[in-house]
Amino acid sequence: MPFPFDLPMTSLTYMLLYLATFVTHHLSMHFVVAGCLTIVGASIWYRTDKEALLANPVIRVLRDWMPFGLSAAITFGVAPLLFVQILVPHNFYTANLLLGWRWMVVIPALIAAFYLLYVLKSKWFERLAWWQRALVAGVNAGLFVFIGFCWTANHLVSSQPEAWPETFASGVLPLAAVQVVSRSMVWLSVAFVSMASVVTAQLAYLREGTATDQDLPTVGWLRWFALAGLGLFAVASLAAIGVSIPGFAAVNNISGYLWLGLGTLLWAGQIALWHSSAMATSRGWIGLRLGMLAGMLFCGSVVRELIRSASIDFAALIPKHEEAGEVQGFSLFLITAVIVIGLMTLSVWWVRQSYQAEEIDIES
Amino acid sequence: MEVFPVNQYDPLMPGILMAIVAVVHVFLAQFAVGGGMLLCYFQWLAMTGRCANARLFVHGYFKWLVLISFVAGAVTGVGIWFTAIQVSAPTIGEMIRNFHWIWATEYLFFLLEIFAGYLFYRYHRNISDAACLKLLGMYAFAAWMSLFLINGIISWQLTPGGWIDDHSIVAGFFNPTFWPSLFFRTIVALTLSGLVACIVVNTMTKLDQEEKRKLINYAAHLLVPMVLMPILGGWFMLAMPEDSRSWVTGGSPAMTLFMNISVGASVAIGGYAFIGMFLQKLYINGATATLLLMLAFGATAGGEFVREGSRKPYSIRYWMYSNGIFPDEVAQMRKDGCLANDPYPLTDGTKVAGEVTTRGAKVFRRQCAVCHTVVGINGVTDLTKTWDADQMRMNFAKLQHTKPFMPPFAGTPEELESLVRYLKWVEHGDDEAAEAPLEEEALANIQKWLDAAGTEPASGPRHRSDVAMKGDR
Repeated sequence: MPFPFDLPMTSLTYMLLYLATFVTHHLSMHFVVAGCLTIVGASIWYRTDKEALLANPVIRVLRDWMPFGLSAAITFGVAPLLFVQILVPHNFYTANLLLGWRWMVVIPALIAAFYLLYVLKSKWFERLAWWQRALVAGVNAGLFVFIGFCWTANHLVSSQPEAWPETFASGVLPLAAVQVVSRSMVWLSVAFVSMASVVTAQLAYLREGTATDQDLPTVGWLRWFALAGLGLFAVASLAAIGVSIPGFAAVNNISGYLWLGLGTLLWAGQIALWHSSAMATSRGWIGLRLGMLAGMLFCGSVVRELIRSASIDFAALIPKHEEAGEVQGFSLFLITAVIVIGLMTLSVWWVRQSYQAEEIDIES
Repeated sequence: MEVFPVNQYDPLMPGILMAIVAVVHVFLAQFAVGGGMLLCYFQWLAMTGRCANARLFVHGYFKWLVLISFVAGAVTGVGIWFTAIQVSAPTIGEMIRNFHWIWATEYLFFLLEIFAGYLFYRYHRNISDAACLKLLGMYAFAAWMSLFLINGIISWQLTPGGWIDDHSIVAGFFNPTFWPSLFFRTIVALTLSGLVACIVVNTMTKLDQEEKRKLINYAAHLLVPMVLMPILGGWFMLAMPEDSRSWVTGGSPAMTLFMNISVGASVAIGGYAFIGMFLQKLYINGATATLLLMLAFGATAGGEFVREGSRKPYSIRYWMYSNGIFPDEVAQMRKDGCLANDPYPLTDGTKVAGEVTTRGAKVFRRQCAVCHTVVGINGVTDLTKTWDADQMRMNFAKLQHTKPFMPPFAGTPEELESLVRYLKWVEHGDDEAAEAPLEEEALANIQKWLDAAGTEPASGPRHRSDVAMKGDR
């Protein structure tokens, strides 16, 4: 059986939960980081035409939804953070400790980035000069890139147990620039694909303030973002695998071929769906394209874990998973999951049932 | 035995970092829980026509809730995990390992809370009053369920209850302090939301003072349950382990101080709220409301310090000492040494005089650094400066008896001697004395004191080590 299906049931359960939640986190995070970079670019592109910038449907959607996007990214990020502590606890904690203050700075950076997204959404932002708008969005994007770097560093440090004592003594992290850059490029390139896919879906289906029926055909240019992102993603992924410590050896097996092959198929499928201008802006293909994106992210995440498990003594961790799996509460989790999904559906139903396009005047 | 690198933040002790992040998060999280209930109440007031401006207030208040709670509250929640790892990776590791499905269940309610909250935030102007109330009810329910579930894990740290015998999650979750802690925190949540409401009302420029006063009087209803706090506080104290109770009632000056801060601030808020706001229906301005909220922050901070500190000498009662060492490891470490499995050298630039002080610094890092600095807040050199070297040797060897809220020393006589030499060297800077060959007689004396002290903690039931011996861990 290919990885992770070759793992014992307990380890497999934690691993699948980790991978699935990791993908949902990344989809939301991509939306925000690529969104901020898009606003930087658009502020420069439309520097003499502020009205065009603010009226652009993509910019409208991004400004409106990015705070929610980050909230979702943080909320969805809690689950993989929980499961990684079961899967590779010693490695994860040690990497946190070796990163020390650099790791802790993620929290204030995230808070600052969150509030800056509300600044991007504000009327105040609209009154700024073009370079000020680009600066605010640029600082915001910079904070997200820094946070992404911290996670990359954490992952790389956690995968090099032999370097821990020396790292602790010297304070110098065992990070090769080529590894950091290639991994960052993987993340940043696919972020544009995710952002383009999500924004297109929002414009097609949202009808309250951010989208109109006329919007969808006008955002065909997003496909160039997606196509360029997919191209760069393929190159960066191959580079990241190549420069990883176990590198090609970790994926040169049945598991690696399966996930790389499946990922390539989904990657090619997205190219096909984005390639045609009509398909790129047609409602009919949006769901399939999002599904393919999520699938490709899942394959990428599995390959990432395949490399990590080859870098460390993963077999030694399996008994610890078994030990963790003996604690009670799994049934409670499953039952609650069903109830919570039901309650979320009910909440949406309440809104749909009483939704009126005309706003209610609360002051009266 | 897994050993983690230990970061020292002198002159700050790691516990201070934990306390800062934890207090801020708890304050914001409890505000979010109470906010949900308060909004339901005001939405109901609006729908039944009891309060003319209640609807306006609900929409204004929710923006604050989103900006403060959804942003800083959510991020500091993640921050607690980050900080807990920095302070004591073994502790958070045990909490996650034993309660991860409860945590995952709590996460589901957090998801529901954010989901319902954003639906309201996004659509409240486009949906009916009834739908608004339902969404707010969903938000409040999910937020309170988050509190319910986290409260089980947090209170388990102080009173593991029946979990210690059979590792039953149910027994650990519904532990002796679970219910008083849950009710107490619920009332704190209502109080915080009521006080924030008073500030929000003062920012509503469209209303005149009389209209604001009415809203404030309704908000004051949320403060009335504070009258139950003394009963719940007493219940909590009775449910605490006896030695923990003794720390906060005079046994530890710091714990007693924080307890007094918490009680004093709560009495001030409760008295003002009940007499001024509820009985006399006074108007309070923004400055007064802010002052009351700051007092509430002080009360929360004091309470959280007490909660964290009263577990001593454990981070998880009867299960793991505050320095991350398991009680059943102590006897082995007395033979093999606490540095036997520690692969980490001192950080470059750490000042030492030679081999003995290097070992001493490592022993300090392994056993003391979670709660102490060398020179700084709670600095050991300050705390021991009136002791001569022999007193220090004896007191460290019999630590759990000298200071019953400290864990027993877990190391060999050589390691203890090295620790003493290191601390004396930091104080006096005498290289020669610090690095002189270890004397057999001194080591023999230390061994004698260590044997006399034993490896058990001075306080609390002893059956914990029997459980650990069964190999449950």
